[in-house]
Amino acid sequence: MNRAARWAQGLLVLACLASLIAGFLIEHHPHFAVEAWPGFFALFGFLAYCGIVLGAKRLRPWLHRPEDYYDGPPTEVNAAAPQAPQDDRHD
Amino acid sequence: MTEWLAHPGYQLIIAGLLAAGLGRRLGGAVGLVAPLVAIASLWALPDGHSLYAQMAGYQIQPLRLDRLSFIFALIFLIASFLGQLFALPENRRVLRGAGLVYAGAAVSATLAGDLISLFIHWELTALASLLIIWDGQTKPDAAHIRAGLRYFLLQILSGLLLLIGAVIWIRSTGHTRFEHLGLDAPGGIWIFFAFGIKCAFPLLHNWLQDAYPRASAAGTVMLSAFTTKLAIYALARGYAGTEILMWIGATMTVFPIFFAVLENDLRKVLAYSLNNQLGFMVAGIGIGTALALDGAAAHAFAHILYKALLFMAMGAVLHQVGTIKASELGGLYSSMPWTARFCIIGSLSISAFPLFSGFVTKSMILSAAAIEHQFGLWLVLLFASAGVLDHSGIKVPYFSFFAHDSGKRCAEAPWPMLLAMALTAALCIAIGVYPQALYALLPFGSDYSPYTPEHVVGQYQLLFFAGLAFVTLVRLGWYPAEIRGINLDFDWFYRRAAPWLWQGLYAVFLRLDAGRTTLVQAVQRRGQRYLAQAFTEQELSAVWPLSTGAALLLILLGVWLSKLL
Repeated sequence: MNRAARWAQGLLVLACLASLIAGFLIEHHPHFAVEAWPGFFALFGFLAYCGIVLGAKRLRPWLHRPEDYYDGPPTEVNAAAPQAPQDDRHD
Repeated sequence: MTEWLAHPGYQLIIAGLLAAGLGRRLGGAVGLVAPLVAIASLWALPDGHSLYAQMAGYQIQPLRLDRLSFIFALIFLIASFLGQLFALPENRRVLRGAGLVYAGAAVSATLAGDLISLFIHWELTALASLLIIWDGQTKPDAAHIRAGLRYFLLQILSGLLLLIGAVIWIRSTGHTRFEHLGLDAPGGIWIFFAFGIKCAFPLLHNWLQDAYPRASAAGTVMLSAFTTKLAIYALARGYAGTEILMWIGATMTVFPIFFAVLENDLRKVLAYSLNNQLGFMVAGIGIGTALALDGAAAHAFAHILYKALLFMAMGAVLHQVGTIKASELGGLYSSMPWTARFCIIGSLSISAFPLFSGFVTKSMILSAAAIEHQFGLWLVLLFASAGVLDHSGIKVPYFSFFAHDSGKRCAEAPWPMLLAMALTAALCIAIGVYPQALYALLPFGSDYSPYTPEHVVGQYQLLFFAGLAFVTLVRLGWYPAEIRGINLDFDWFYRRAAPWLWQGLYAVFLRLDAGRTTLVQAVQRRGQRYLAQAFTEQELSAVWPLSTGAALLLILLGVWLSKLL
């Protein structure tokens, strides 16, 4: 990892700590009970992000197809005998 | 007559027809000046100004200026100017002309005070935007043409639903005015779905991700601004406070983020992200309080700018490098440092970092949900906010300008593109730093201050820790790699499943038809023999009673008729 990336990561960790500490210092006027927990948004942000990325990753095997998937053999119904060559199923 | 020339939308349409026929310098100049003139005209019109006309025995109102239509018309005009500036290096006549007509039609639709003028301009946006999509390739191939037609079909369907709803509404109320409708109004459900298609409601959304990334660099910038936000405007006017919109909006904020994480085409990532942002506005309209509606309008305003900025940055990359696939990009920062910086400003804005535009507008909608004690909705919107950080905040700039070095080197984007990005970025920051200027334009008179310690700290926690999650996942090697390929979405059902189903049914039909022909021939042969026996060899009615002969005749007639069919 190069120096710039190391710096960026260090800054991010500092920013996380600062925002977490600030959560304990400020006054809360919550609409929902959870808003008053000092680290709620931090925890929620971390977990939501992981959930989204890892969830999407699990969807990939089902959804992923080659780039020419839709441009494969013609699907015109008026082709007399629609004998589709089977090269469109790379999955 | 002269008062019609002061209509900002018609000014743009006329300018568009003019610019399409002009060359690079003159056409480009018209493209830049026309939106500025139109902004001046819009500003000069007094609030409540109207223009009336007669059409088919009904009074129509092609110009109705109130605060709701004003803010949408204004941002459309600003977006049109920025898009035209960005389009200068591409120098495409179609883009200039159709771009201005498209913007003019969108402005006219927001200013339309009745359903008939709304319908006419609604359809004009569809037509003009189709030209922009087709213009994405100099000599469009079959797949490109088909994609354009798929897009157009959905847009026309939306127009058709609007027309049906409008006819029902006009017949039962006796007037054409476009005002609050609601789902229970006569024709209300038809118009709701008409708006829903253009707003890319879940399952009606694929035209957006399918078509927008196919336009040229500047074409997508123009497309991103108008159609969907016109639908947001129309929903805000017609369906404010319709409860189901909260849940439609919530769904819209969530499901596109998974696709955006997986998608390889970075402009398609932005198209999914656009869908997700629309969800916030739709949810705001569903909540329906003054704060929520103002939040939706403000978010549309801010969103048009930062989304245009992100599409501009990716368009500039496409223009310079020739591809926009994440799997082939990376390390472009040293080649295009300014584009990268502007892109990051767009990312910070859409991710809603404090001091950037997304923060001061999106938090209005979240606050409105909290004030109405919609805990579930609030949580979903918060969840989606973390998702925005991933696909638009991190993925788009990270995989194009940083990440692993693709080895690609190119020149920085041409100056008109950079200038357009600089102006847009400046607006994104200006709104974030001084939101009062935008709040003063909001239609429903809510009172809101985004910069409370609670909001700022909560937002920082959410974003920084989501960023920390990104770094953690990348370092663990769990972040999904960018790989070539597409991802199946709901459009699979009409692009693959429906043709397959149709082919299958057609094959069954062919079989049945062949069987019927055989049957008919058999019956005919048999029938002829029986008839010959009945009528020739014997005396009438000796072997076959007369009634049998008549029945046979009737059957034969039927068989003959069925052959004719």
